[in-house]
Parts: sequence; C-alpha cells; structure tokens
Amino acid sequence: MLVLLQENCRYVFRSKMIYLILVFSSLVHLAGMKFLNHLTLSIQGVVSIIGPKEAVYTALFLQVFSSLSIASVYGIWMAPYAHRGEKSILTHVLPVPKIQFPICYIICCGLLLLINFIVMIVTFVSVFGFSSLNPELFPWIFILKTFLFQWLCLEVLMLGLALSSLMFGQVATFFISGSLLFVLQIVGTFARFFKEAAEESYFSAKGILVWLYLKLPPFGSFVFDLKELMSSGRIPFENLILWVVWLVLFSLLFWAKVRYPNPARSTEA
Amino acid sequence: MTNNPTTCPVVELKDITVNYGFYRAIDSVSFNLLPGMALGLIGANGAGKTTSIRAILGMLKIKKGQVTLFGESRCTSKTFHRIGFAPEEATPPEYLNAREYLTFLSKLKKQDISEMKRQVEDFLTWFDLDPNKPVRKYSKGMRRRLVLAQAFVGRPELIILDEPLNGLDPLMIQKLRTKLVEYRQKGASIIYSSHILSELETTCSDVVMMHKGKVVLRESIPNLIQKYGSVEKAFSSNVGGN
Repeated sequence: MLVLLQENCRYVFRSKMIYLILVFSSLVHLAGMKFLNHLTLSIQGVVSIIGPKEAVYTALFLQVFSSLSIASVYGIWMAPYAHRGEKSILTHVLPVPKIQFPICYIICCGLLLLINFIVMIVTFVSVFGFSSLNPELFPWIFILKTFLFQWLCLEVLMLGLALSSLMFGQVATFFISGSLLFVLQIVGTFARFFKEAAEESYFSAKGILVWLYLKLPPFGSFVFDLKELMSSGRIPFENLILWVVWLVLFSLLFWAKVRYPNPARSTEA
Repeated sequence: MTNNPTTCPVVELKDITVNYGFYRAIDSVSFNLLPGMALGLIGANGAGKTTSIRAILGMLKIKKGQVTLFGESRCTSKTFHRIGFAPEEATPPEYLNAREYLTFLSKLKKQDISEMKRQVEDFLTWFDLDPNKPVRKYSKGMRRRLVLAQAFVGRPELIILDEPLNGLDPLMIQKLRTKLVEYRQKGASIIYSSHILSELETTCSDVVMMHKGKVVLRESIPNLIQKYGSVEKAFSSNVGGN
C-alpha cells in the first residue's frame, strides 16, 4: 500500500498540472487576502474594518474553490492514469489487492487537499501575520471541522469523476458532469415543489423522485453545510452519512471497474 | 489435501469458453502447464492465444470452465507475486525511468533491498536499457525491452510472454532465448505465445496449437519433430490447410 501511495505521489508531483493549480491557488488566496486586509465597509453609516477574524471565512471559501479544481483534475486525469489503455494490463498484474487502488487515490487526493489547505494558512499568515493564528481570532476547531467535511465531499466528487473517466473517457466526463449538474438543478427544483406531495405518500411517482433525489450526494447543500460548519461548528449529520455512504459506494464501484482491465479503450491524454 | 509440488500443474485450464459480446473468442479450451515446463502457444491471428493468456491472468470474465493457478481457482494479488507477465502491447508509466519502474515492481514483490538493487542493475544491463531516460522518451524497441525486463523482476515461478519477439532486434532475441533457457533450468515455468515457430523449437518443451478458438494439438516438441519434422510443418498440417 505504501509503495503504491509513494508511486502515486511521485506521479502527481511530476505532473506539471498540480504545480499550476497550486500556484493558481496561492495567487487566488494572496489576492483575496490582500484585498480584504484593512478593507473598510460602511453599512448604513456603520463603518467596520475587515480583520483576520472576518477574512478567515473568505479564505476558507477561496480554498474550497481551489480544492474543487484539484479534486476534479485529480479525478479526471490522475486517478485513472494507470488503469487506462495499454497501461491497464501492467497495472492489473501488479501484486496488490485491487481495493488498494481507490484507497490509495483517496489518500493521495487528501494529501493534495491538505497541501492546498496549508497554502491557505501560509497566505493568510503572510498577509495578517502570525498573531492572527491566535485561537481567539482564528477558530481552529471550526476550520478543521470544515476542512474534514470538505475533504469527504471532494473525495466523493474525485472518485465519481475517476469512475466516469474510466468508463466513458476523460473528454466525455466533462460533458457528463456538466449535463448531470444541469439535470440535478432541474430535478432539485422539481423535488422542492413535490416535497409536500411526497410527504403524503412516498409511493407516488413524485414521492419516489423526491426520495431518490434525497439519496444522491448532497452537492446542493454543500456550500450551506460548509457555511453552517464555519459559523457554528454544527456538523450536518444527515448529509455526512450520505457522503460516507457514497464514498464507500464509489470506492467499491472503482474496485469493481479495475478488476477487469480494458486495454482497448484508448488513452486520451 | 496437500498437492505434490512436482506434479501439481502451475496452470490448468479446464474447458474454458470466453465470449466477446456475441463472438466466441475461445471455445472449450483445456491445457495445463507443469513446473519447469515451457509451453509454446501457437496459432494464426485471432486463434485465441492472447484471450487464453488473459483468461489465465483473470483479466476477463469466463463464460464456462475453470482456471487454476498454483492450485488456486482465482488469480489473486498473492498469485501475482509468483507471476511475471509481458503483454504483447503495453506501455509502462511514462513519467518514470527504467530504473524507477523496475525498482517500484521489486518493492511491490517485496524483495530484499540489496538483492533488489543488484537485480535491477542486472536487468538494466541485460536488456540494454537507459536507466535515467524517462519512458516517454523511449523508442518502441526500448519500451518493448522494458516490458520484457519487468516480467523477470522478483524471479517469478511462472513467466508469461505474449508475442515477446515483436519489435526486438536479432541480438535481443538471442539474449531473451538464453535468459528463458536459464530460467527454465532454475525451475521456472514459461508460457510463450509466438508466431515465430522456429523460435519455439529452441525455447519450449511443449506446444499447444490453437485454431479458431480451439486447441487442435497438444504435443511435446521432440514428439512433434519426430511426427512432422518441424513445428512449422506440424502447423501447416493441422492449421495451414483450413
């Protein structure tokens, strides 16, 4: 497992794409923090200066944005790399249990997200100074909880994209994920309208639609859950369970997919 | 029940049938490989050689029959510790160089560090591989040599080579022949699929001839030569006319 992880990390760090993302992430954080530093807001005559305590939430949201890019790039390109095209046969005969592959990718993507999180802290400190890390100003516990929750959600996204990339190809995954997002928005809107009808009977068509929608990975409430976690530290248990279930499900599907290599599928990138 | 290691087949295919959609790739194929034996798989294109190899390695779903590897009915990660496989077409990870790739495989096969370093350097020299050049800069022939080299990592008990001579120069063909003979003498078993029939006469002890997904002949090389004069003639008699 360790050898596999070491090798995957080597691949990630030799790929230039990850450096680009990290540089981009640092720039976004730095620009965001510099902008917020000493910014004064005047709302209904009340003038307030934005300090580290307020800026940390913006930093977290910026971090979520860059982490989302990292998880997507890792899921579409990096995780399926060894299992696509002619490489898949050599990967198949490696003397490691196949279930170790998804576990290894989860850990590796987690390490990348951790690096991105560290980039956020470093840029935050570079703008607001070390004193801003004082527990009174910097809500460590809330931030760590937010990071862990975000990590879980992005791992699900990464594995989902990796699975789609393995099954349909990397280019198709872009269109599939885009279309899926669009379809889910529509289904989500309908589900909200049908909710009352569904509460009366889950056995009606509307009821089934709502029930199915509620069992999907809760991407719709991702940002709201993060906001809740950041401000009050309250863990959204219902969604947390759903995310865990989907992480396990995607890991098992990934494992099932790599059990039989498909060398005929060409390597796109 | 304890299997006698000298008589228990390393590989056994019993009545294997594999379909690709509606197309039957191999049909009721049965053969076995005993320890120390080198089995040549011959047949025209599409005869089912590669499919048989993939069935052995658990790469595809078998419709009917059973494959046994080292007495086990499933090809697991433990089994892969004992197998070296060089596919006909394969690309090692492009971001690595030859030394890194062979070291990675040695580590997975849990070799002793000093033994691992010595063996990797041996393979790099033997297969004439540039150790520090990334695989993405390798020529087709060098990639082929690297794919062959990786099959020998960890001194496997079973080596499976699918069309190993494709893209190799005559000198490397000669070297590979020597290496295979050396491995057989040390007790390793070999499955060798090739179109170059004369090569099988020098490397293999037995031959399985396949045609249109079926085994049409299974014979030892001396018997085959005695009956037909050469492997090539045997192939013409059994397959060529069809």
